[in-house]
Amino acid sequence: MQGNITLGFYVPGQSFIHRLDPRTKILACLAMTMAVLFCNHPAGFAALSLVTLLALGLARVTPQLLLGILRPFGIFLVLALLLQLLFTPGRPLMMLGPLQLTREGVHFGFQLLWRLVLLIISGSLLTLTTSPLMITAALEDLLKPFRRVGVPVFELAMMMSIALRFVPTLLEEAQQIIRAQQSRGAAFTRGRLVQRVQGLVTLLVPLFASAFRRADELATAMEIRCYRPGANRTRMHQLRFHCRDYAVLAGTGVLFLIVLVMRWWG
Amino acid sequence: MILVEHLTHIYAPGTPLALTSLEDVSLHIEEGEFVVLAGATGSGKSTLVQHFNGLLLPTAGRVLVGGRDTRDKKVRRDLWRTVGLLFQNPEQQLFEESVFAEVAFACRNLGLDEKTVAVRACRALEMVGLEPDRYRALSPFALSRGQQQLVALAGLLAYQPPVLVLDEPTSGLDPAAREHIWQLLKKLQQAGHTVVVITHHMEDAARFAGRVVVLHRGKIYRQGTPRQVFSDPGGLRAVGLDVPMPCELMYCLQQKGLPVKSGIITLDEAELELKNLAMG
Repeated sequence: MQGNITLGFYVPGQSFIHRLDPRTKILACLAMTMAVLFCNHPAGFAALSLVTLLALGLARVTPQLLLGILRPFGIFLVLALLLQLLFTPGRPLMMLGPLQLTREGVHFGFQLLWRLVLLIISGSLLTLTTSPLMITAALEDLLKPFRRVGVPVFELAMMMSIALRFVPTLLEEAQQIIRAQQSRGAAFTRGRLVQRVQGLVTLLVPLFASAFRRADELATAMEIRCYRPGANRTRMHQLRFHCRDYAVLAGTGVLFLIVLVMRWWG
Repeated sequence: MILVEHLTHIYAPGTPLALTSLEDVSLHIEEGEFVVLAGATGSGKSTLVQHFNGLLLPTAGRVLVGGRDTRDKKVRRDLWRTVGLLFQNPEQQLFEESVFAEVAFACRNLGLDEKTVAVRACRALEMVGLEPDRYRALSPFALSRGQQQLVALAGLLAYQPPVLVLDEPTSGLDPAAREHIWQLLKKLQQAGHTVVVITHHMEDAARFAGRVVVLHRGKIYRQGTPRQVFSDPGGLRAVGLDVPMPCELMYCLQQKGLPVKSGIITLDEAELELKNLAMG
């Protein structure tokens, strides 16, 4: 059991954000992402930060959870900030040995940092409050128009949901295999490099064999249930827009437009 | 040989997914014993045996193997040499390109020379009933599941650990192979090995086990000789287990008021008892 929170981790719940239609969340997340990338005005950043904070509150994300989401990106964020700080040419503020800190560097550095933080949070809010299956269903629905130009939307969505479905299964299986091989004296974490590589082989071969076997069995099981991609099957959970969805979509849409207007005319 | 003291095991402790698999289990398995572990699915059998070779560590309590605590990392590292554990699904361990290499894997990990390894691997294949000449060069992936199971078992027998722990070694085997494996395990016990087997076949348990330990929801529900344990079919059925057919038959006859002895567990004993009954 891993204690740390990884990207794409889903926390079941009943908050306002949880109950939004997954399509709304994907579209809103997309709008927020674009807005964050286009934004170059302090007022715009303030507005985007406020909306993000509101969304965090509505999703009942605790400060600890937020920290858990950001922590894995820590090194990346610090590195991005440092590079901007130290290598942006402009009016010098102070000298650090051969490097100089510039006014522009500070400006762009913190702007980049803030952008990245907002991007990570809005992306995590989507996966945190939406089960992988709902995301797939929503993507399938949103991408439907692309079927006309020959994109195999149903097949892609099915592949994605199967992949997501089998991640925990394969992790569990890997653990079992490791135990079985350790019982026979295979070394995974000790010994010389050669032994460790051999240990890895003893894990990967059965794992792949089992993944192929599972795929084969699943294909058979789907065929005997007459699965046909794009057969317009109904869903157990129908996606439906509610008032709150329209409100959220309108809100993020307006915000996006304001940011655009500020960029080009502000 | 294996001493389990107040063992409690909780999966994912401290999370919403925490699951108590074993609760205050104490058990002593003597050297040279033949112990059958029984219990319904989810009763904690597999969790318990994984403590025997240090794959799992106690959440509370302790496990001593040959007097040494499994919580000690140095002890744990070499525990597989003493306690050989065979898992339920052979497909979760087969990876070599030939049956021979598969059977020889653990032997080679012991650091034996190739000649000894070859001798032992071939003898192990013979023991489980797979002719070495016919099977040694085949790919283990080309075998049936039952044969894969036998190959996995041969891999365990080849490196000759003093304690053999087997998790349902006969599932997926035909009746002849099943009988052969039980006879083989009995022979190994007589040769000095300690044998611990998890099984759902109570008939086999009754015939071969020196002691039967029944687990129910992570606790020891009952233990003793097969005769003692199978004397109460009702109680065993309540925890999701069967009793051997002869035992069941005698119990039913007793319920009908016929004067038959209790504690009968084999077909031969039942036959004798029925003859006595018929003679009056």
